[in-house]
Amino acid sequence: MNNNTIFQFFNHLKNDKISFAYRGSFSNSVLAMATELIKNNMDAEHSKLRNKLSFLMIESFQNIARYADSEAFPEPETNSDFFMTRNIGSTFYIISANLVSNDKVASIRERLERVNTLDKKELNDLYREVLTNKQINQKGGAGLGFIEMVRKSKGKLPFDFVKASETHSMFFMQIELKNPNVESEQEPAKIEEAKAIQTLIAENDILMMHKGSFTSDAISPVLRMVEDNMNSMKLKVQKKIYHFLVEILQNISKHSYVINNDREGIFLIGFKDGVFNLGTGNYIENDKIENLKTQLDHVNMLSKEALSDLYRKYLREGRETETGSAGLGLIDLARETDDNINYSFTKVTDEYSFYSLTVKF
Amino acid sequence: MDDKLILRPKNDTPGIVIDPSNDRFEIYGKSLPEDTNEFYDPVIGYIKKYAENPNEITEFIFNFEYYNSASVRKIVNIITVLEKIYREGNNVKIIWMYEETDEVMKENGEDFEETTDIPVELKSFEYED
Repeated sequence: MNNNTIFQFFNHLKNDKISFAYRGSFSNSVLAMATELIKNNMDAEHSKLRNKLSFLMIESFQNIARYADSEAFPEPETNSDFFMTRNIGSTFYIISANLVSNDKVASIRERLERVNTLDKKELNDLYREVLTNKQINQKGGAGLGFIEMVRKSKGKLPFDFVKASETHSMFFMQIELKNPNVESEQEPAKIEEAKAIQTLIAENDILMMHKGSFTSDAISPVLRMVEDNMNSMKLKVQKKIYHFLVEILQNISKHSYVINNDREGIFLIGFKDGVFNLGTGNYIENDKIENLKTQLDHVNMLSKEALSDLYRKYLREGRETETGSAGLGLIDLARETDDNINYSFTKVTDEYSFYSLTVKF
Repeated sequence: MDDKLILRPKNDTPGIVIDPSNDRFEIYGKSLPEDTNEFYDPVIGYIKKYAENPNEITEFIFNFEYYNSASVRKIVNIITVLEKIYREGNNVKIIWMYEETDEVMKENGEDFEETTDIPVELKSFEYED
């Protein structure tokens, strides 16, 4: 992951009001946190969709567990199972991608094609039939999950299979939940876009991606999620990642450029060869760039000892001044990474630019 | 002045115990409010009042799990008030607690030890489970 990757992701998700993606092994705690994150961050105009959205996210997530054959690829670095929720205009999209063995492809395809062609009454009939039918397959439900997804979302289930190896295929599925009370001119998102994002996530070894409006209220559930999700890591690494996110997200919430009342930002957590890569991006006023660059170059130039001296100098002398902490966050972050704080500014308009940071722990 | 200030720890603000009559002074948990003034100003105001008529001995426990850089300024402010009590000839000590494997919090304590005149005792603890 580098600064270019962050801009690439941000552009892919340009129209997303909120989006969250996760790759790796799937546990219920990830699910609980993902649903909480989306619920707490969705715009008020969509609040009536909350329960339905949670329900559909849970179904989609558990569907991955139900059909997944990813045991063949137990290493997290090679596991590309993927879950994503995004909101564009009036529609929420829930996307799942997981490896299934090739011999299951035909039957999954058949079930999905069937539910996608039925009208409301036929669907209800099928639902009742399946519920009373004794012939339930071993992995729980003769496609009851799919039927429920269509009934609850009142939409179709676009899907696709992409051959991953001689034995396995990647199974993509998208649930679409539209808010009937909100008008939107946004083009609907196709499943091909989800496939492109999943590829980008897997290629860049991303574990978690979140794009949204980072207000102080929105940050808290994000942080709790990251924190709970890191319990298995070494405490030191865990603290550093957490610290980086707190500082950067609060920074976005305070200083980023406001467009349509939103302070939009993105963060990504990647992991490769034992190293965590963190990246963030947000818009910034062009006027602020020079000063920020100077500060970044300054902390990047200093040795660990010089940074510690600077930090302690603040502890000694910064007590009376109310503006004294300018840059303290950056000094602190620079102290903790073994590498530099890598940054990039990409001009978007005469008014603002895209500002991204990446660090390694 | 109320005789004590006791605040429960929350998701983004620490727990506070300022209870002079029982010799208990402690700040503990996580501190990452975006608006540090809102939380800390009343706390610091309370400690300043205590400083006007302090106990002979003040052992102040800092037991942070985590704090953001915005909170650093407020921790510095608290220590500044404690320094005032110390300079006036009272017995003041900072006890800086950190979880045994938490090097970050240990280093944070060492930073304060380096930068204040008050004696700082670094104390590690271990969770049972």
